[in-house]
Amino acid sequence: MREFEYYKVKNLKEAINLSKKFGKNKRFLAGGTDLIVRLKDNLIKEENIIDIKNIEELKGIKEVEDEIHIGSLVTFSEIIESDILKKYSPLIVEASKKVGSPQIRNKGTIGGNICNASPAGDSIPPLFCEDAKFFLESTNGSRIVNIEDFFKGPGKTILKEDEILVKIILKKWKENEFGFFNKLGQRNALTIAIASSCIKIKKSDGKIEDIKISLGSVSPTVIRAKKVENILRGLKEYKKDEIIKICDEVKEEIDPITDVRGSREYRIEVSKYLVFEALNNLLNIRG
Amino acid sequence: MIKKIDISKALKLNGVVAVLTYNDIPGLNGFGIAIQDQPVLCYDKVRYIGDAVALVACETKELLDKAIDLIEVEYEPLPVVEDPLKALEKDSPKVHENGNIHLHTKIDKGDIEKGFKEADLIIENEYRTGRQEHAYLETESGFAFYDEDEDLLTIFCGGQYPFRDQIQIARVLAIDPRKIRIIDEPMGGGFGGKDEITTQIHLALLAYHTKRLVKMEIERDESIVFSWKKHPMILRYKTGVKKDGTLTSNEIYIYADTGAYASLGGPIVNLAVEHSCGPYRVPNTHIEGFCIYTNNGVSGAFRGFGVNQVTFAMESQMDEIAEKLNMDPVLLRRKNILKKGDETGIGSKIETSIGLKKILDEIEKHPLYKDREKNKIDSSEYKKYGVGIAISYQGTGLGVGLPDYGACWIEMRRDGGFNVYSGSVEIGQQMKTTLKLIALEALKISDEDKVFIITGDTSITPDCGTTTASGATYRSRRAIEIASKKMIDILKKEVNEIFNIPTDEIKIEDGIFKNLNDEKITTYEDLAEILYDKRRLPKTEGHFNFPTSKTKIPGAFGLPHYIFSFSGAIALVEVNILTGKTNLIKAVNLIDGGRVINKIGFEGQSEGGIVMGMGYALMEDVIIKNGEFLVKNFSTYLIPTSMDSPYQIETIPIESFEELGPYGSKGIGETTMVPIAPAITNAIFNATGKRIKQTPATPERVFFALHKLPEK
Amino acid sequence: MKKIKIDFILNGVKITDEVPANITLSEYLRDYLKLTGTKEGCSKGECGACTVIIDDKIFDSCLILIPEVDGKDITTIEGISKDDLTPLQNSLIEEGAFQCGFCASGMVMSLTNLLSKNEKPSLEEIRESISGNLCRCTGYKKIIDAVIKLTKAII
Repeated sequence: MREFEYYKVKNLKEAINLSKKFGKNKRFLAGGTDLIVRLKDNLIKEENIIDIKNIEELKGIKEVEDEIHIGSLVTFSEIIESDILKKYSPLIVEASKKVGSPQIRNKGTIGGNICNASPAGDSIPPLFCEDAKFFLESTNGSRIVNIEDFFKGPGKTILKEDEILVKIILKKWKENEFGFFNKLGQRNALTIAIASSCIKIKKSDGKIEDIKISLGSVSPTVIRAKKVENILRGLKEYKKDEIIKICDEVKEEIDPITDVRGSREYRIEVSKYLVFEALNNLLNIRG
Repeated sequence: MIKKIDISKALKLNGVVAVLTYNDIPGLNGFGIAIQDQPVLCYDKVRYIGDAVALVACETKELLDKAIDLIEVEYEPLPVVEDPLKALEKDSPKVHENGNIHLHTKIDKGDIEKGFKEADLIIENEYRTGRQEHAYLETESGFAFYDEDEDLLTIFCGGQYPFRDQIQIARVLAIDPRKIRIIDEPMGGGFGGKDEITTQIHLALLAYHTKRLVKMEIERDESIVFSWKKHPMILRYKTGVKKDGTLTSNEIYIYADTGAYASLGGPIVNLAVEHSCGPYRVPNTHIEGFCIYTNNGVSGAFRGFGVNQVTFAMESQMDEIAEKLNMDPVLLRRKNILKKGDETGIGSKIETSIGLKKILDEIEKHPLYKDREKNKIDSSEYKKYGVGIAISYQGTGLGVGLPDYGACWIEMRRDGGFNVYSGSVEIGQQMKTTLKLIALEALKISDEDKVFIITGDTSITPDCGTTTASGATYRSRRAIEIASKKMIDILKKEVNEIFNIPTDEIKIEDGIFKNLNDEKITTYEDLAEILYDKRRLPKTEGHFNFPTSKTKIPGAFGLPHYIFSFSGAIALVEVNILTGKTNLIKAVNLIDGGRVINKIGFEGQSEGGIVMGMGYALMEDVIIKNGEFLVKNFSTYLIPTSMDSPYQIETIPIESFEELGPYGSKGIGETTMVPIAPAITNAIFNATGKRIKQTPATPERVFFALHKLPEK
Repeated sequence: MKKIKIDFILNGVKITDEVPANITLSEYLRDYLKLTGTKEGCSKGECGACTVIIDDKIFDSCLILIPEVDGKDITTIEGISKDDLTPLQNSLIEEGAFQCGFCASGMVMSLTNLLSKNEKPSLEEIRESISGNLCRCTGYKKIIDAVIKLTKAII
């Protein structure tokens, strides 16, 4: 592994000040499941590694009125074991179960998954369905941004040089809300998604009152399929052929690449079925 | 093309001990089991991205990257030979001066035209198979040192044939092989991937030049790039069959991508040719096999040795025939299976044991097959279940004309136990356990602590041939049996001399010599003590030549084989028709490996074979584009995890007694894997009505078989 | 490179050392302490051969930067048993769960951790617990069977 300077910080202020000092020439070490692989592959040019693992402000899952706050250092295992999340935001729990392996889930953090900004980040599609907000802090103070404004491309976010993702803010689920997360991988564990879809539905009187659909690994960032959402919103009858036709519209909203996991063509074609499969799990679709 | 290699900057770096290039090779700059066409260190051309150009030794691991960066190599790019079919064309760029065909085997039997005229149905298909990586969990690694006082170069490194590695190194260093000691174990998995020499020559060169202890570890992403793979093959099959299911003819063309160097590509293609018609009687055949050089990495020995690919093709053909003739797949196979005295597809007679009928009987009565329509009722609307079967056979041993032998030394110890020396290598297949069980039985004792198995060291064990071709246990076993018999004879003679009892009145039961009245005469322990005092502790040797066919197949070196193992598989799959993702739910392996000696080891080989076969069928492929590896670590090269492998695995031994085999047994290492992939793809057909003709059957391939790509 | 001070517990023994920050725990165990029971099969967290237990959870030691171990309580395969093998290890041997053995120490770590939290795991829980540990020789079945056999015996 290449050489670097290592700094362990004790609190948020120290981390922000240090990152201000280094500017672009630094990387944060949170879970490290991605960073350490990149260090070994010699893909990290930055010379300073700031270990933020001991910052208490970035830890824990808390209930705050009708919100849940997830610290950016919370690991996938902690999410899976969280009674709060199981009760009030189960989609992120389901998605976290699909991350890597038990070893990776014990180490990888939700903040790391978000800030890496991979379109294949497993925790991101549910956060899109939850309209998550990110609490960021820098030397200029703090700000809250909507998830839809956060990602700029693969590996790119709006984070400023001295800015840290502190926590993720979710709204608690209401009684008539349901969701489904669907990850398509080449194998059933230790796998990066070929494509994934996540749906959250709010139903009333058998009608889709509201629906949010997000897709991973099929565009430069995780995206929402708003066209499909708009057509589905208000729907009462769920006929298979019609629903598949509606799902077909998702093609207009995605822009995938070809890689060793799958071709662009496959990702385009399979996306509609992933959305359909998720809907099929949530609605009583008739043939 | 290499224009210039400049190592001067790297040599100046503090901590660099040695930088070697082709200039530093005292002997032959080439290696390879069959022909030495692969340079140890390249001098004119680099033929694939894993070729070695320079060898660097540093004081610390951390320095290596820096030193390697300082080596300047100037290349002139050459056109890449990528497609094996295009490589056959006259105007294709040449990988080697003599052209791109390493081997071309052609076999005719009967009258192919007549065969097709007799046929009521002709099935014609092209199949393609993936480039499978062995993915042994331990990468190639080892260490070496040179002892100046003894003038002995010692190399510790996981390999499959220490005596051949010794000769390959001796040629490169131009020294007497006796001055090289190879210790080949233990190692973390082989599967054929460590049959060719891996790091041993490089280790030896460094130790020879530096006179220091040298350690070398290949990282996973280097291992995948440089090491040998299962040959990807393009297989064109045209099969003729009568209405009643009788096969009449098979016209087969096999195009194997052997990559940049030959290694065992030639014998592998010949084995593919030999097994290309499956374990069936096909009276009229025309079979051609091409072993083709490309710039796509290197291919070589891998569990199955060319048989996986042709079995996938032939068993897919059989499944399609059964479907088209509306015939039960077991019945179709019953009509055509080889019986003792029948000719195989290449026209050689099988004269040894065949367990095929029993395998088909077992498949037929197995609930997974018998109730397959009932199993399908469980399918949900978007998840389809299907059951598929396949059978196969695999020649054991190396074949005609190749040195294939076993050897063993046994010495009695002072404590009445025995040291058993065998040249076979423990490569993770429980070799030592199996040899111990054999020795205990042959030496007539039960106490496991009394037998020590010593293997895999050129200085202290006999040359026992290579641990490959499912034959290592077989070879060693025969040799142990022979040496043990000699040992027992000597011991009886000693008892006769000491106790004055005729040798034919002495029997041995669990290390105790008894007379005809079942009275104890003495024990191994007591006798050993007496013999030790007389300085007469006995030593015996056992040698055994692997039985081979009396006839040869002209134009096909090594063919035919003489002893065959047989296997069958039943697979239950679940196909998600929305995504194309396939899961193997249940699998049954039926194996005729003769008598089972080590039950746990037998099941272990079978279960591992199922999961490796499943990876071959569904996910494993090293994708190379324009000479570049797009897959080079375990995040892109996927092997089955515990979540992919079915827990419901069953192994059914079909013990056809092989008279030639000691204790009636044959080899099983490879045949356990071979029928799995076609059983799975046939099951996919059964579930979806779509035939997958290219492995691996990735979600994408299955998806596009199910859903047509809309026209643009 | 500048050295970092680390203080941690390894297999019940307090360790204090000064090491460069750019090595991983698996490298430290194998190269510095010569505890070679921990294997490295991929060095990217994809095979689990290097699994260790840290504060009652399993981790790929190849993905742990050595400064991260400061203050932790680490168990490696060498610390799993004192004199005799554990019942789990014996059960794995009896079932013939391993062939080449390279994945064995990682498997033992993952399964030991599972059993410390869950005395009677279900089949799915056992499969899940080793889903980060690749094995190429077996079909995982005998590994799983060894646990099933053992846990039935616990009742």
